[in-house]
Amino acid sequence: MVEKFLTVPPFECAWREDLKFQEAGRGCVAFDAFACNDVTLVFRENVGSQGYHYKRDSSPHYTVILGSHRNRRLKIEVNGETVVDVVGVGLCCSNSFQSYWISIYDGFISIGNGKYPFQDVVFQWSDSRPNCNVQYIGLSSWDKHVKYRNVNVLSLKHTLMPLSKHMLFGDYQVEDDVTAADKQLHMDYDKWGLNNFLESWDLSDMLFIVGPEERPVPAHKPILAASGNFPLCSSFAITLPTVSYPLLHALLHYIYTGWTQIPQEQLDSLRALSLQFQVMPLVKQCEEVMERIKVDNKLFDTGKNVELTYPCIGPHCSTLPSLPVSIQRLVQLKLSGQYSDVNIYIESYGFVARVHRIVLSLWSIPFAKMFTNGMSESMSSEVTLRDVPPEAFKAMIDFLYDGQLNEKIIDSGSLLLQLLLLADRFGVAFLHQECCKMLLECLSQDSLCPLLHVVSSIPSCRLLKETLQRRIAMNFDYFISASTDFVLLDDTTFFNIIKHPDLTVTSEEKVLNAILMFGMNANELFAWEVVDQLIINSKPELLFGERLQLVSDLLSFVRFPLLQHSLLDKLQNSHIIRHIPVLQSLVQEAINFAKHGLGRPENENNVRFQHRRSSYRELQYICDGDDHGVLYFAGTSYGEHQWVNPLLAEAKKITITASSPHSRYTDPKVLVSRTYQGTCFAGPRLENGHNCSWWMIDLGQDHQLMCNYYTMRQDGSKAFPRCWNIQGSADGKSWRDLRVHENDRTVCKPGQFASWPVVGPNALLPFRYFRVVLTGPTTDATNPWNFCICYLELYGYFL
Amino acid sequence: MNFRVASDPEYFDKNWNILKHAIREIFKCNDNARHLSFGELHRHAYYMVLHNFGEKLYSKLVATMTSHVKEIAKSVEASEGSSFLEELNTKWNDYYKALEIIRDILMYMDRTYIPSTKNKPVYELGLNLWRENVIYSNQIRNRLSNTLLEFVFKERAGEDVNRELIRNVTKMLIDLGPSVYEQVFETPFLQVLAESYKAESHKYIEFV
Repeated sequence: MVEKFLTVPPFECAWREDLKFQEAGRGCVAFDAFACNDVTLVFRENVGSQGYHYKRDSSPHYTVILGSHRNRRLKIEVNGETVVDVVGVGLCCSNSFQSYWISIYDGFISIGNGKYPFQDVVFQWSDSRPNCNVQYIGLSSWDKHVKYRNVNVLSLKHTLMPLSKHMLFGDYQVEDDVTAADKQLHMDYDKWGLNNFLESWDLSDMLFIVGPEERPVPAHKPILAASGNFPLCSSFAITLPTVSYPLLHALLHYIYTGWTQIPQEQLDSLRALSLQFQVMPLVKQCEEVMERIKVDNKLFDTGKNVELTYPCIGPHCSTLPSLPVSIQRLVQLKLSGQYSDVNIYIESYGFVARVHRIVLSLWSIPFAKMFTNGMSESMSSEVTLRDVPPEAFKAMIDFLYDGQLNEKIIDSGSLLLQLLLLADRFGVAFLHQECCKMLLECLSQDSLCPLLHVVSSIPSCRLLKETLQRRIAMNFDYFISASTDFVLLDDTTFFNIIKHPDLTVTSEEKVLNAILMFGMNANELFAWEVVDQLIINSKPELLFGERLQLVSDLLSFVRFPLLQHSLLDKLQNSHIIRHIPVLQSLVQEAINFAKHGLGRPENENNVRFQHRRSSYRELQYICDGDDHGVLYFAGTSYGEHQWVNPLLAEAKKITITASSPHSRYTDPKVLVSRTYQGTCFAGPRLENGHNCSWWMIDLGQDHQLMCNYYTMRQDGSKAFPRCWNIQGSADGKSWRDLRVHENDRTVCKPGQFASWPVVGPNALLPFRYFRVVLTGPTTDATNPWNFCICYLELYGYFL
Repeated sequence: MNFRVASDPEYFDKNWNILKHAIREIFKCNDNARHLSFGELHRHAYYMVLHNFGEKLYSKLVATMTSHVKEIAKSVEASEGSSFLEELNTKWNDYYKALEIIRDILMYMDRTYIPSTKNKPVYELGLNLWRENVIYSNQIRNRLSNTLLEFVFKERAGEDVNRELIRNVTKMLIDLGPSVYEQVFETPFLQVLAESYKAESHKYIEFV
């Protein structure tokens, strides 16, 4: 090991006693050099004298010159005679330190680029009369200064796999090679993790040199630094002459994969090694097992392996949360930049993060390949990405270090979606899964369509896509009335929604309208009558363009036989039907059905003649105090018996609560009793520092209502409400306004009935909970926050 | 993010040309990959698949790779005498490395588009193309068999042969599938071996 830098002046050569192969003629030197050209290494049998120059050397030696002839050639000389002189390989990089390695094995010289000995071979040459005595390494230069650092000499005693492949021996047998099938397995996304880097030269930045045989074992500083206390700062290599390879292997296996195994009798040594490097979870586990063996001697069995598994919480093997790697320390490394090896930039944004390649790679195969497969990013300490939203990318990097989704991201739907896309692009399976989970948890009705629009193109989001499609199908009325977002969906997605078995809709006419709007790529909402007018001066090809065929295909999913007869007649006489033959036959089929019934038996299996799996019952408002509303309906247990007060019935169908506690004058039973009560009010309660008075209805978990009308009746007081809302909710917590009354003077007499329609898209959303809530004081000055009503009824589509 | 591009009618061609250029460069010389950005190429491939061009991308890839493999077959066929095996080996090594890089670039296609189809992943596709167009080419198959046998018998006869070369070529045959190894090398090898033992044993019998 040489100090930080070693600068070799022109025409000189640095020799040191310790820069030598352990075994004459065999060894490898790895180093970084900074030079414009001519990085020259000399291999000799003895140390060179002061003022040595290889051109004057008469004793046997090899000279390797990287970037000879002004950085244009690679040269190898034997005893001063040029034996290799090739153009354009193994050249120097003039603006930074570059890593190289050179190995010599009985005259077989390999030269490679990069930090990882025996990887990325750029040139090999075999001496026909091998010099098996060279041992000392001289670091030299030509006519410019050359800086050397991180010079390490490795032993080749232990046969090294990567090198043996290139050597000129071996039989016809090939079992020791990685087979093609293995390589495929390594790309397994679900099993990808830090385990893929266990003792791998890929991305390694340090070495253990273990045992008397001095076997080099590569590892990664950031991982070690976050899992224990290794002496990393001072050197590139940690030499452990007294530790055997299997022992170090067991330790590294534990860190990189979360489990390890070791013969029982070596537990103590493993404990000592873990303690030496402060890998505390393993120390603890070793001690626990040793304790158990001590207590129960029968457990002891020489030669038997014990398995030690890190108690993980995370579901994914070998990604951070399930490894004994300290998240806190890793996050610290990210903040401090210690051991980091790459700067990431985003085009037209700039620098985003200084990170550790190994951390990114352990999560992501694309990153791992980017950093190792020999393309431009593998060689560079700067990587520029394009088409990456900076905020989301930073969030992803944070996740890669701590394995957690940050609150801020969860709250921002758009960021979460971008993060999902990044997770998909960079193959971070765990993040992908977390994002999908979060998106599903935070779904709001209005984010469904835009979300589905994006997600439908991502093949790996199938589950999310199917869930969204089902949600839209079930609330179909809302989605085709709230906005025209749905026409932006791609054809297949819309097709899936239309033919979804759970499609729930108040009228088949709406399905027809939706198909026409989708076909025309509508930017405003309309019904089929509008198309009927447009088509007079146009043609279906012009109106629907590319979607014409799709429209024809989709029409067969409209259950025309369920439409009212009058509407069918209207359709039959429309313009549109003359232009679209499919529509004509479908309408004709429906009319025949109305006239003659099913007719042919094959029609029985035709879904068009069947009611949808879930369909709404229309509860239509006729007049104030009628018996068509949902609360009346509940009183008959939905048509099963004579009316009784639904709150007194055996099995309670509905629940009603008020903002103030139950009392003589605050009695939910009264509200649905269908009898007049002089005094009945909900008193105020404080919610978030505001007075709040309301009556709330819960239809129970099996029922929902799309409310389109409601009725209230004033009690005997003159406390008339002026500002109130009727609201709906799916969970009883977050509320949507169905109708807002501001300074509404409709109620002006005690005991007066009053009814209002609920219009707009929200009227098409089915809800389980409804409430009327005062938003301003009533006309009664003494008790302005008493909501005085003695009757409430809701109408609409009941499910 | 990049979601409007799909409506650009030239979107696919533009991006495919970038990829095609890169694939050609990598095939031409593995070393060229050093000058290509993985991030960029992976991004192009990712968006193409995302925008439902998986099928088109795959068919274009097959065409490009096929034409390249055919070129290789021609050059191997044209190689003279003893350089035949060396030429085949060099071309195979280059092709294999290039194939790995191309597979990396197109990994999103492999991961999401391929499983929903009957198509083979890039790596397998590459091996199949090589097998069908190079190894099973009329001018190569028997020549390869014979050259290998010749080498083996030379070696058995004590002559100095390039063992590493044979090792690499047989390794290639195994990578291409056990049946390929059997057909091209093992079966003819065992046949000839049996015959030679027969001949030898006859000699012994006569001698006795």
